[in-house]
Amino acid sequence: MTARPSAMLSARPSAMLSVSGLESGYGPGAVLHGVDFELRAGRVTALMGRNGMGKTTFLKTVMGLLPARAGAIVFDGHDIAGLPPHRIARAGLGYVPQGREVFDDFTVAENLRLSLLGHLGKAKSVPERVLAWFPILAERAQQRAGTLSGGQQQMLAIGRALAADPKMLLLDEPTEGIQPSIVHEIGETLARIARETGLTVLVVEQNVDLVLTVADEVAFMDNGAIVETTSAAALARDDTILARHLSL
Amino acid sequence: MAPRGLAVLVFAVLMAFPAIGGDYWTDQLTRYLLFGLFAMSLSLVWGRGGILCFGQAMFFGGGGYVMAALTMGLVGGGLAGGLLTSTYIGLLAAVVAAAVFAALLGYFLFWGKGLAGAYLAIVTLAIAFMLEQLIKSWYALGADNGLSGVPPLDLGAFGWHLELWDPAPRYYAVLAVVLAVYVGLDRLLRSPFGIVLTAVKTNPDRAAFFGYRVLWIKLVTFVIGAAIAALAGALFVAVDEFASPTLIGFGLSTEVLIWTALGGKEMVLAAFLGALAVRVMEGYLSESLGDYWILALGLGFMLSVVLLPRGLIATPIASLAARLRGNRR
Amino acid sequence: MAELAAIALNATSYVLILILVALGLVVVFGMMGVINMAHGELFMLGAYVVVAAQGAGAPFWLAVLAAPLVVGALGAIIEGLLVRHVYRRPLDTILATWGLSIALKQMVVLSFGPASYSVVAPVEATIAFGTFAYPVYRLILMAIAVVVIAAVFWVFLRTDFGLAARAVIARPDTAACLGIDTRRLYRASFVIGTAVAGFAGALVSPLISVDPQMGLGYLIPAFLSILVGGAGPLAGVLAGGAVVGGTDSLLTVWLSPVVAQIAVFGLAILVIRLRPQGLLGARDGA
Repeated sequence: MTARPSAMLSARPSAMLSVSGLESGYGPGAVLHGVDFELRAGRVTALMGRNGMGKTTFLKTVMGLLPARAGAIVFDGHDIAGLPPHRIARAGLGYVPQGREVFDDFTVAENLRLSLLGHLGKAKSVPERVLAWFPILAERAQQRAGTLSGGQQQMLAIGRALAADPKMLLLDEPTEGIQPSIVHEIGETLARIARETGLTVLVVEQNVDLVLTVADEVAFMDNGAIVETTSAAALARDDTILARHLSL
Repeated sequence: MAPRGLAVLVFAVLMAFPAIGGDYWTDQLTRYLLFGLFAMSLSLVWGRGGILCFGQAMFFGGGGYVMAALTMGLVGGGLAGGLLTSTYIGLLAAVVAAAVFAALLGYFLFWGKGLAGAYLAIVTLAIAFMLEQLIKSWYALGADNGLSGVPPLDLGAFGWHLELWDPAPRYYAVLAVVLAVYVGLDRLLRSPFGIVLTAVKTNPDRAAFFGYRVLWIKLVTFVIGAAIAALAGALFVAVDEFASPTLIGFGLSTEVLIWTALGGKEMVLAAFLGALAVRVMEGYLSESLGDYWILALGLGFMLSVVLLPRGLIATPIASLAARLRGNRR
Repeated sequence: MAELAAIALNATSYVLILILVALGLVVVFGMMGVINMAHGELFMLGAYVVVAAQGAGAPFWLAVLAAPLVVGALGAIIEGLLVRHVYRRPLDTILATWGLSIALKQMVVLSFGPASYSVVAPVEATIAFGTFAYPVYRLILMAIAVVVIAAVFWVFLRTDFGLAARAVIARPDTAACLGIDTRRLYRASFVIGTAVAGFAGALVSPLISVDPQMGLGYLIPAFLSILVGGAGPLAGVLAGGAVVGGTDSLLTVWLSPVVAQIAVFGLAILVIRLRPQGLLGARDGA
């Protein structure tokens, strides 16, 4: 297991991801209007907000799938704005996209292998701990990913991102379309992973239960900008925060 | 759309040309005008309609052969005292034949989940290829040698003849047709049909959701394009007095594609000027460059697609028009 | 009976060459959604490598080995200078590669002249099958073609490179986020596709008349084979190639080559329209 002693022992955790003045969008319109955001290493942060406020756009811009029109993105001390997605991935940023995007025609093992292929010089086999967190990936190794259930595909998508031993994990609505019991299981596993390895996590989520299970901190996005950040504990205590940002 | 002022300027220059150009170039320009008309048809179908047809010359050449067959009396020459050999009947027949063929072909290509984009391009390419092979082996239509001795344009009717042998009158007759078609296209594209056409080209599924009958719109566009091309081809064989298999072939289909793309496929006037410009350049340069002309054309075409996809002529016109519109506010 | 065997063998050799040409096309088409309209010319250039080599007195098999290297290198240049700039615009790629095909054809005309060449086969012998004699070279060609096709399939279905390539075809963005360099894969796949086409051209050169216009006669049936076969990136090519190539060979027995080709193209287009998902595709277009 890889512990992150610096993250756990340092009195002032450093910023793993630092975004300032980020602007981006699709076509002529703009979706992100100057996002300022900082994620501390070793923390699990949830990003919440109503639909269409720019949460997915934000993740895509950080991953390089969308070009940043203005602003800076610094990941682990490296300026990544403008880099192609595969370089950002190799720098240690793992991404679990909305809708999971597993390769339906490939087996579970092949899906995991792709992640290893993308990262040169890394271990040639899936780290044991990934299989320990998601035993089903070992059990169903030869099964075609398209035949897995939604929850199992989600575990595969997360396991796939983790197989490359990332420094930070981005997840976009991992609970979408998954039954509540599996949601809970995934939430518990994510919390466990974060605890055991000190992995920095940013999860975009609408599901409050998952957020409270997993997150240390919560940020709210409205109209393409971060409008409030708070701790998960504060969120659990105060109903009005959610009402402010999530009601129509 | 090109600004109306520019169109007026272009046609004014064209009208004045015979006075300054001399007989030889007037003669050449007559042919180039018809190629320009041909390019206009492709601009409508492809640039505005989004239908990438690699075989547009099938209508141009097809119209030409129909015209030749009728006016030479090869078909129905004995009927009604040679009525069918009239220029007007020939032109009409060419246009109608092309329209019918285009309607059938278009229906075949576009019904249901119709062909589009790359698939349509390859299929129309295959069809063009097939037609060229067919015409080259069709003995009755002169096979490889084509049909020579096509009668010139005859403006008369009912026994009265007014044949156009001289360059200038012939030029003006052709120019009149080209101008009429341009005006017609301009009006069509500025009308509600033109707007719907743009919608269908940009996003056919969404247009269908709005209730537009996409198949019908595509068919109408395809048929009008075929008719214009056939008209150009029919006039061409009368001007050239020769119907050659190259007019229906693959090579010409390619050339008109290049002219239209180089000029600017989305702007009918630009496509027209593109055809003129390339033919004029070819007239000057093919002597000196010889076989290198085709190479230069191919390379130039590649570059223009990469760097100026909207067309070498259309891009400056469009930005000029935008600037003028901006200044007026 | 002997006639039938000869026809079947000829059909097989044509089908195999067609599949080689189509494989190069389909990888690029499946991966980038672009049609390389100059693919036929790259096939043609493979044949001209042999022509040039024989003119210089070099042995046939050396030329056949050199052809994929030469054409593949050209493919790398084309990808870097041209295709790279337009593959996000699939329709413009058709036009740009079309312009390239015109330029390549003309360069060959300028270098070799417009007339056709004959390439001397390395083996003139025939083998006796009962009552008729069949050229040994055709049999060698078929064997080599099968090996190369199998090799291409093996690369795409059994290697890590192939896995990454198929991932990029299926979900390019997701593959990129897993660290896969999609650009490098596009280039590699394009080069492999063009090298295979060049190899096919060199291989078939002793059997046909080599002229600058020969490319289109292979590009169209190759692409029609892809559309007729449908489905998955590679399996459809086998089915489509067999159907298109086989029908062409059969019809040529009774009809003139021109009419046969017209008939085959017409039939292929009919199949494509009536069954858009191709012969192997599932009804819902999967």
